Amino acid sequence: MIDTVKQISRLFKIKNLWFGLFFLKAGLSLLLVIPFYLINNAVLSSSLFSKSLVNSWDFSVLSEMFFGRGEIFPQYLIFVFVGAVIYAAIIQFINGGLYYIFVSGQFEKIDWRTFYAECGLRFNFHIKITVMMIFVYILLLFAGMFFVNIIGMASGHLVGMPVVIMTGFKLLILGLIILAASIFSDCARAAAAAYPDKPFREILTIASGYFKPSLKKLLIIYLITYIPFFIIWIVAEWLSLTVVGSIGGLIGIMIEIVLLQTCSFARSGQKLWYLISFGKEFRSKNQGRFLPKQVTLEL
Amino acid sequence: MMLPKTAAIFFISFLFFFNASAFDTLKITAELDTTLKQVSGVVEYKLPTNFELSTFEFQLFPNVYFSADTPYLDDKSGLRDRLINSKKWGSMAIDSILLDDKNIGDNYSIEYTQGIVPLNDYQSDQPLIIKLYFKTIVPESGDRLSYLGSNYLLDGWFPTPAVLKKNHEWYHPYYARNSELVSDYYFYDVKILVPSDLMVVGPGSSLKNSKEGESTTEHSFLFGPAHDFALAIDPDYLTEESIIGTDTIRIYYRDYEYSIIQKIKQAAENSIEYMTEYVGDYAYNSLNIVFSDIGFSGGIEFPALVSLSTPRGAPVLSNAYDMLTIHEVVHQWFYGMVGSNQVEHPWLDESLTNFFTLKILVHYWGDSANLFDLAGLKTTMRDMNRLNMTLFMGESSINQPSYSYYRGESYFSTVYDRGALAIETIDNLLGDSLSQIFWKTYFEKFKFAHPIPDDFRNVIVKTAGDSLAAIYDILIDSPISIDFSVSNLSNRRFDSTDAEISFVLNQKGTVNYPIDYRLYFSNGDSLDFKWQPQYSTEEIVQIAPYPAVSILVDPDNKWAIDANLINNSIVINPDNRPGFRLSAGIMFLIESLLSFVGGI
Repeated sequence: MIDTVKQISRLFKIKNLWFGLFFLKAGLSLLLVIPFYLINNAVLSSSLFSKSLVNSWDFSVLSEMFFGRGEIFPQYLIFVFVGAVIYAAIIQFINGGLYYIFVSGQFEKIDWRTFYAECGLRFNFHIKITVMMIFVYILLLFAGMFFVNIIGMASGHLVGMPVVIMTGFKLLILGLIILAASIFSDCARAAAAAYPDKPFREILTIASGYFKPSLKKLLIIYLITYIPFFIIWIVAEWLSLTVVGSIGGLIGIMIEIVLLQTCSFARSGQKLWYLISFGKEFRSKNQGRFLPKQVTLEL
Repeated sequence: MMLPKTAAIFFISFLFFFNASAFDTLKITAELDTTLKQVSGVVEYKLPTNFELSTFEFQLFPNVYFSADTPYLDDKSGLRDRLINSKKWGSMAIDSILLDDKNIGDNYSIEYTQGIVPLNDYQSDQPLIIKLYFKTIVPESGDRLSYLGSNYLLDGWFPTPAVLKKNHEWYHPYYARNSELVSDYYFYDVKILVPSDLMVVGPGSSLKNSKEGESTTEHSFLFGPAHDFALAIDPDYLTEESIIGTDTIRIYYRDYEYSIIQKIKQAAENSIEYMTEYVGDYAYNSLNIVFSDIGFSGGIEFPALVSLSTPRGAPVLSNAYDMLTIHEVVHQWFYGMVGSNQVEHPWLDESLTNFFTLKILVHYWGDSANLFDLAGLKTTMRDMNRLNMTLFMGESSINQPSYSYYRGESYFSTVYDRGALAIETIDNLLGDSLSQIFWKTYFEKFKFAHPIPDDFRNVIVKTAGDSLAAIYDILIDSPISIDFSVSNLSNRRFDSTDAEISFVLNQKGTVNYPIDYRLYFSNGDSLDFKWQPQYSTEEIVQIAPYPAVSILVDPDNKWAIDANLINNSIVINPDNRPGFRLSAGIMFLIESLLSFVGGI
């Protein structure tokens, strides 16, 4: 646990990668939001009704915007969905290099040529894992819902705050189930990086063999890395609402953007921090091709 | 001295007979069998004698729960699925019918909820006494008539006479999708035998006596005039009471529902206070609010009785249950005291009730976040009304039978949401000075009666004249959507002192009524004008000492029904900040989505 906390210092040694991944996400989001801005700004900018948006997330403006123009909203959602699919595909490409550097432990001095070579080499594996995980997530979601509904039935007579706490508890259970599946996908991706010559089925076997005994530890690692990000997220949201509500105007909006982007940047950092600890953990049990070569001393 | 005394006796007798003949009495004697989940008993009804009837007709409401194929369950998929799963369907059977104590055998017919008894052989100068021996199977779990465990909600549980129209013909409401129970006003004299371990809650303070037997207790109720008589039964009810003015509110709850009681009580008190002041006195002086295990999240109104489902977590996160309570309490005025045909003209109670719910929420909870305020997202009931209204805009008119809406969402969106905003528009156009006069007049005139839409319209005409009635015709009777907008604002120098301001006013959905608009000038002043539209689009030119910086159509938001409020104004210098902030927020949402799908 302490070791995971200590790994955060190593995160700052890969700031190029961190910034790169953040800008990839932010850049694509910016591309996706530009049409939204162009479509809606003309309407909002000339109306007195929309002014309340400068200081608060006024639902009345949002509902007039989205549902008064019902034809644009679904089209835009499809547009964002396509963007998300493209991003997921790009990330699967990057995952090849990413898991390579973290499982090998060679992330502090990244050889970009090797990095991209690994990206290309393992792309089909990562796509396969993603497709498989989509089905796993769907199955687990239904199974998890069934499980939490049983808990819900047992708590049938709760009213008020206990219901909210119980709902939070149910979401936490669902989240943990999904997180466990996500950790399994990390194991599979790491196994693919460590054993590039093994077929897919065998990689899953290796991942599964590592996943079962290590799940508890990996869950803890994930939560240790996630909690600081979660706190940053909550604080950023609270600060941005306060700033916009009090200072307002363009300055308030700019501060809010900086805070929200800090939050997004922290999320990218959280995943990299987790991967540093995860990679070290995985390497300690499955060295694969990263097993140090025996050095023969020539006397 | 004799004459005045005789006159006084005559006058008092006249009043008594007048009242006695105004509303008939339904005498009901019944027993609840909790093992068989059925209510059996007899309804006694005296037929009017001042005109001839060829038939006596009655309603068997529980047959709406008879099978999955009934018109009532069409579009009520949740209720239908529950009944399919439980296989505990509801129904009503008639064991026998006695006319003046003579059994008529099987000389009657029943189809769905309609029962018909021919009377050709039973003409008499004396009032004909009809006794209907019935057996009602309570469904698990229905909506108005329902049981779950040992909690019962009994509405429509005895056969009621069909509605006798002014032309002496019987009228049977068509109990199909979205419909509610319709009946005439009666005085109810009810005796029901219930297992002694169950607590029985009737309307208001109608419970007169409870005689405890060996294992059952006979509860006697006297209540009326009302068009329905419902009961809520549960072994674990606890009571909380509060008095507001001359009215008493009693809340019947289970111990696990205690945490919500104060909110419910406050909402009920506020509603009664507001409605008494704004519309008229609450006639029953006592209102019971019960928690029932109905199979959906919401409430059902009955005269002097309100049933709410157990609220779960909603009251912590929002004022949704305050809103629900207000809605059901307001129904005591528009549904309870002023009845209406809820099947043919559901808007006459639902739209009016939702309008007053909106008014009460704004009055007591404010207009900025009266429904929901979490993490900076503020929502009002009006926002939700407007949002729901736009979903089915232009499809149906507000004045349509409940069963004619092709699905539940369209019904609720049109009658509850658009209806409330249409009534709010009419109320706004009446203005503060006439609004209260209108509502008090309508209430007093149709108290304990069933007005039709024309009655509502006539009160508008009498209060505010034909021009507002024309607006009523557009808002209530037509499906068109109304949208005012302003565009093409420009200024140019007119002469050395004045500026020429030109802009275009548009209206979608023709409204022949003056529309207010406000000009804001560069020196900070503003001036109000009225637009009397003759065409759907008109260019307006104004000469003023200062150029205009913005124009706002309908500045006082009188036209609550306006389909789009964003286009109601225009500014000369566009302000990109709202769009910029919204886009930045959306960008962060997209980034979060990408983080979720990509893991980074």
